[in-house]
Amino acid sequence: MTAVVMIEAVVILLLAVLVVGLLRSHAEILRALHDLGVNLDDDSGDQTFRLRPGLGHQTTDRPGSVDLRRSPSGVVEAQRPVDDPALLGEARDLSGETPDGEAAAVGVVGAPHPTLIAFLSTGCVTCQDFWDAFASGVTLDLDGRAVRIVVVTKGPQSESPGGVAQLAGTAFTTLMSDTAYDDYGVSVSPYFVLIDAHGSSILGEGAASSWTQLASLLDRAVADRGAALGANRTRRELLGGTARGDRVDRALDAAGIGPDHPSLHRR
Amino acid sequence: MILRAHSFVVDVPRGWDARIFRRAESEVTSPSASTDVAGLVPQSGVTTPILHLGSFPLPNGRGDYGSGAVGLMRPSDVFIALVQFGPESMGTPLFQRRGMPTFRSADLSEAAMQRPIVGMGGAQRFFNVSGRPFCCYAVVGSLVRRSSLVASLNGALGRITVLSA
Repeated sequence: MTAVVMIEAVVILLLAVLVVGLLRSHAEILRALHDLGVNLDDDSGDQTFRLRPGLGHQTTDRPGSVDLRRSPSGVVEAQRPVDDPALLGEARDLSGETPDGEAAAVGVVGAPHPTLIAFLSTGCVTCQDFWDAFASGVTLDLDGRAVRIVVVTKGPQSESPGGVAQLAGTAFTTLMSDTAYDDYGVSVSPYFVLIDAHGSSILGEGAASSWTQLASLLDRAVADRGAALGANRTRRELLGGTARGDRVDRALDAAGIGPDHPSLHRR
Repeated sequence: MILRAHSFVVDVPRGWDARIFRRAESEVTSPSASTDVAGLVPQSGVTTPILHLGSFPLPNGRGDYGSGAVGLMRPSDVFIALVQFGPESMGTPLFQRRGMPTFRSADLSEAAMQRPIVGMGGAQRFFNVSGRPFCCYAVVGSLVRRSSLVASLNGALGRITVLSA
């Protein structure tokens, strides 16, 4: 009898260890999915995607981490030429028409909240997912502040106001404006621009073909902002090293090291 | 940023939203309407241009005097509705005052709001400018901060130009 009890106790102990191990594994999977912006709890009602400034320090040193220096699959980084190659450029306020025919101005420069401008069209299949996501109440949160979502389509000459009105939701602002496309140099849809609060800085921009890719793009932009603040470097410098050559030349000049300096030719 | 429509020209303050619109009129005319002034009157009544200006994101589906928007204001926000009245209002005592109004902080009160909201304040003025009769309804997000918000309110009003229709 004692032996049976002992065996039963051992089995229970083993099962307990197994359950604890499974729970821990499950928790790690959930945490990893959460870090990637995936929320499996569809019934929670909270559809806020929280951008994570802290990701700027994440590297590929540990398995499963995200390399922020590389674009995720499907994401096209912005290549818009700007005056200062070290910057993504300055945001501009938006003006155009609402689908209801109102003349509208939308303030994004100096606004007290960050703004995500989503350049969408009624015709493109890829855009439909974003229209649906925004209409269903998906929201963004940056540094604890709600991100205002502004969907911009081409003007009434290119898009049907009735078609846009059918897709426009009440949870976001919809604007029809050819000027906005020109101001931001946008040639494709869907295309996204994230603008910081209390200023005119463009934190990030690019094309993405799914909500997950958009979330990843925005996360990288926010993370790079955090990294750039400390190192006095910008997102574009970090991503592409576009200003690296000039910066290195200036540093070498300042140190008195020119092209003929012996230290550069030492073997 | 300059916004123009319906003979309004607005130099929209940085970070503010603006809308200029005129609601659609019914195509069905009112059978009992008087026809001696300007022909048949639409069943919806004759609609007139409206300007909304806010220091916060203006939502869709706002009422003429900002219902649906005012409730979204934060304590630091300001809202302005400039509602034009019909030509028959010109010359009446209510619209006798000429020129765009300015407000004093003492003008703002909870009682003057279209729908009173605790802590917020509103005011309205009737006037005419460029031969057009208007009501200006203004709301501040906090009565406690009205002395600073009224400067922002008057500054925004100063950026509105009303042209002859």
